[in-house]
Amino acid sequence: MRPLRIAVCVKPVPDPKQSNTLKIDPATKTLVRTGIPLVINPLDKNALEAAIKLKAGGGTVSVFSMAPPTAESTLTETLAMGADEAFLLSDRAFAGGDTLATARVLVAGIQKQDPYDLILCGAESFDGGTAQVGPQIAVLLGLPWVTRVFQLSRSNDEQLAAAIEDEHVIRELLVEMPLVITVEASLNQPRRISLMGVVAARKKTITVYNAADLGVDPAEVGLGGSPTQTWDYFSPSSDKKVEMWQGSSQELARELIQKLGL
Amino acid sequence: MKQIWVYVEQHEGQLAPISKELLLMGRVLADRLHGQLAALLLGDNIAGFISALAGLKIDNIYMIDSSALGFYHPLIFTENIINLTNQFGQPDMILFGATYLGRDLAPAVAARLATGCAADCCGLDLDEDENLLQIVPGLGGTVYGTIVTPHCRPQVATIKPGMLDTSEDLTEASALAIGAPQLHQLEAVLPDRVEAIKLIEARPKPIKEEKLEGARRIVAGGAGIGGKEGWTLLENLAEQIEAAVGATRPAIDEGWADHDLMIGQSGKTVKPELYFGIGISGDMMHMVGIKGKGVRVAINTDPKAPIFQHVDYGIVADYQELVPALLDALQKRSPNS
Repeated sequence: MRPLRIAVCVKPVPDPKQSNTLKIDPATKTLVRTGIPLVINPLDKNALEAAIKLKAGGGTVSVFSMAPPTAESTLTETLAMGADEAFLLSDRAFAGGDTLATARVLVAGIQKQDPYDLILCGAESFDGGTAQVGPQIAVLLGLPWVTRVFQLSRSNDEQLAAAIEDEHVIRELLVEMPLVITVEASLNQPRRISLMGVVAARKKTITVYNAADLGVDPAEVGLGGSPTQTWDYFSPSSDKKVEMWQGSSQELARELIQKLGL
Repeated sequence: MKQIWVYVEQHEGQLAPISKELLLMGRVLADRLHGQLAALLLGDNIAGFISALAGLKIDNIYMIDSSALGFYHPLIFTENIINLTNQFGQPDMILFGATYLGRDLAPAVAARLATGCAADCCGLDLDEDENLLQIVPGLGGTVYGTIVTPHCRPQVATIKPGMLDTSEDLTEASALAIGAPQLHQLEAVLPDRVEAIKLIEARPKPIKEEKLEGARRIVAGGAGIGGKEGWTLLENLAEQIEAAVGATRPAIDEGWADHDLMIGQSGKTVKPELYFGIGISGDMMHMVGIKGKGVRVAINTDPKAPIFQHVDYGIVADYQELVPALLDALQKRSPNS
């Protein structure tokens, strides 16, 4: 079958294993990321794994990421996993973008290259979790899309077999490239990085594009170009007044049974 | 006059619970804005479904009944919503359930209209400028955030099932005289590349016994459980007190619990009489899924864990000691006590 050109969109996110240490700066209302290492968004690894599998036998896997310059190390990881090249879309003007503003930047990066047969994304990010960037990339590229795919294979030169499920029904689809697909965790098991992969990654390139390189309208990206804005954060009010209990395990167990009527 | 559109989902002729919630909330918002509420009905052979909307105080029903809408095809559904905005004008807001379909369709519609979409809202309100306040669990799940779409219309949002306050005193207060809804029927429009997505086979998912949603008692575990063995301990406790097992996302990511057991923003909404949170820090992502006035107990080794702000009884203890002691005591108690 003909080799495919596949783009994978990747978001660096604060390490989910350390997410309980995330704090919000009360003044700027933004996430304090200091000290929390960035990793590839878990579902984006599934997207990358799918891309690497689909390209077996020739083709290209290009990774695109809108992120600060510090994210370069996470892109190196994608190259070590098996991506051929990576594009870091990085500019202060992109900061604070909502899903649509982010999709605009990713689309500008994707369109700067030769056309792709397939654009793969994780279904949603660990931190934002909106699941919106995938479909919005598709709309801006004018391509069909299918979200939350949990089975994916090549059928022929132009088509892929994909399975999805909603609340009630499982559907087997035959989809035609070019299109955008977002993937679920159950699609595959992302490979671990091998030493050979790390060595190979050294010969691959990460190209950095800023807003001017991409030719995006600054009024359409970043915080200022975002239709949605976060006005405030507030702690949920709780009408609960906690009663703290102390004692030995045996005493506490007895008290639980008594008070809760177990 | 401001128009509020609600995308209505149905399954085998039954109105989806979230769609009913949205129509009730949509009515409240429409009355506060002195506007109108419309239900968007897209599907194949759905004319008989209109009666399911009776009594919901809807001003307009926009219906597209076509064999092209037999299954959710992202391109076709998006194009037809866009066509509705072309035919009837841009509404002030379009509300979708945060379902598979809603989470796919809403952002696509928003992108087509170059407007914003707030995902997975757990509350809706209006500010004095009549902007829709879209309440979502915020950064890292420790707080709520208010998302606003101040400069673009329509305001598009997806709303989590079971989260809105659609209590009767609220919705009845808005009982303006609304006649029977006006039905507007449209032909389906077909975009380019429709054939790019073909349905080969559809099969109903096996109906799983819903243990969590109706459960009177729930024992939920989080990252603090630490391993499969600990999880078994938690399951034993649940069995002993006839409770359903629930989990936080980290516990599921670790593989201790099935995805179906997730409680919270990305999972189920529950309303138990008794909730046990064990080894759970208490992120809003999880806590937002626990409703009702039931008794809540938390066991955590960290006295500063946020969960202690959301429970009635807090115990700073190692569950690995406390739960075996509790199991022991439960087994020893007389059956009649």
